[in-house]
Amino acid sequence: MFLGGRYLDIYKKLNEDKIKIFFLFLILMFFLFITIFASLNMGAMKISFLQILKIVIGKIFSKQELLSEIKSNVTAVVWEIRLPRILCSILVGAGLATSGVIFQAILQNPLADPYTVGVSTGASFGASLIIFLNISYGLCLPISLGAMIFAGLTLAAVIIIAGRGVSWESSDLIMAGIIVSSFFSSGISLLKLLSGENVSAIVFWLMGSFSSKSWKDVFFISPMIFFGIALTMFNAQSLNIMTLGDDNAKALGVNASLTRLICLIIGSLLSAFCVCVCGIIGFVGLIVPHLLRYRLSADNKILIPFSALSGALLLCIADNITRTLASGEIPVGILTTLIGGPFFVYIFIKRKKTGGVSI
Amino acid sequence: MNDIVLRAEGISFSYDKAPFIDDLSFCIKKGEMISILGENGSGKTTLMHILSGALKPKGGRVLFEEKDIFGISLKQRAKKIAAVYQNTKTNFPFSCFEIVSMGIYPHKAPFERMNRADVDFITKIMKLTRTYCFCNKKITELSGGERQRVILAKALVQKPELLFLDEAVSNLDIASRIRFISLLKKICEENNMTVIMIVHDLSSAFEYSHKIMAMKNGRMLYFDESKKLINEEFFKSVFGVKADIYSNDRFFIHSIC
Repeated sequence: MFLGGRYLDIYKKLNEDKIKIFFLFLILMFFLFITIFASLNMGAMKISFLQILKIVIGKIFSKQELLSEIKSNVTAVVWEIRLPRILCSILVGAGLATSGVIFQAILQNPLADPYTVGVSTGASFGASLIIFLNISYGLCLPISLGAMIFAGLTLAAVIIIAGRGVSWESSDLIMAGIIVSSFFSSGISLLKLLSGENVSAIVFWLMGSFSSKSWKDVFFISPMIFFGIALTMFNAQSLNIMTLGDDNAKALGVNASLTRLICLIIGSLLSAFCVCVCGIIGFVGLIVPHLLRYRLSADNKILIPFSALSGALLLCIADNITRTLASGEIPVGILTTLIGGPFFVYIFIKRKKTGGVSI
Repeated sequence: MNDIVLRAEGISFSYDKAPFIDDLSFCIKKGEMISILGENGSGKTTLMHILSGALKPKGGRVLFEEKDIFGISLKQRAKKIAAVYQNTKTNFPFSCFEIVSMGIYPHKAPFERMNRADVDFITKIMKLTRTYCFCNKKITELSGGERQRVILAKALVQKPELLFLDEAVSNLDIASRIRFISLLKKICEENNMTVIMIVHDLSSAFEYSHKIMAMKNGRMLYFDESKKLINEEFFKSVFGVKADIYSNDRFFIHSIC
């Protein structure tokens, strides 16, 4: 009657699964390091692996004797140009994927992404506004400041609109997100119109790119990314339970409304910081959590670290492709959406054919 | 006094100005199995949400073990009270074992892992509720009734002293429903668990529950031992249907009054 034979010892099986997952994580981690080194090797200037190794070790452990034998311009290319850019793409990939997990979980919708709630549109508007002001009035305001201010304003607006009632329903959040997002989209269009022939500055910024990212950007986003992922992990079990619906979550001792609000703030901040650094990069935050959820595990405790790592890996590779393959550089945001869109259609159709529940 | 698990003191509730539930008071004893009956929209679900602490009443108090239910933190409450509401849906492909094991969560400290005893207990409950065969299946791949059985198993894993079921057994097939309700009755008798459930299936309500509460338009029409309520007047006043009553406490509903 019960399939006793197949699962004789569930406890043992669970532990074995945990070990497998842990090893898989280590393997991915290893891949990420390999990718970083391979990426440092790619580019217009040919630099050998040995030189790269010497520069990285020499810089990290400040050993001048290793650096002295290498030309200073080579060191600069590796340490000041390539490495910050690679690290930025990794951090943003991790941040976007984690943010995607959060939004999919709190909106109870496997098709949500970091841009669903509209905070990133607000951030883009802020950035566009600063670019517009800088060009029109010859100012020198920092773009990230405007992006952060408007991300905060958007988040506040979404919370006020959606939180009118007693509880935090996911449909209210999506609704509020759509309203606020379309409002700021029009705002961006207006700014583009007003900036006349200087419109390309805004357009390029919005397309999402990692070109000319420096250590300053790395230090700007890394605390938020690490802090955000850690906080999300802290809420992972509550997010798991919220999958049963708010009433059931409450019956299990999870305050669904409060968790949703906290995670909304974390997810929005993560995506806002990412937008600040590199504009809008589509599909990473949607596809990575979505695929891993069906292929690996729906358990957020596993999904969050794996999404972060895979997002980092994916965006780093995507950025390498845009950096090296195209003669003139194409923004990575275009590439992720160009490849991501058809790929998503493919997995969507495949899942329907195999008879599984579609999304 | 000690054997009273839940006490409602003059609870009232309204969705707009007009009172919907008005001044309800009653006590529920430990180990009892109670069915709430009534037409659609008679206030059963609202009452259950208030009793389980999911909805705050506009007036009156709900006392769980003589303490105000809203004075107990969510997590403390979840250690003793479990609830399954109608239409539990999920969009995410959790395995059924993962769903059932969520029931252990209120008994664990944050980040505390399941030990062997927990896993054995979950396995036992899954076998009892005949959901063990779904163990590795994804919850999104199950049918509505199967999914509901998994959710019910999760509620039992919570080791509740008081269990609320809001039409939670309605979409089970008749054999699964009888099997599950008789399992509940067995747990009630052995572990002194109290069950309060909303059902539409009158035959299993009268067959298995100790007491029946009948609601109409937000008022409590009857609250008595189920045996005493099997009469024509009961069916007429609560549901507006005609029933034939036979000598051995059996009934047959055949037409509208």
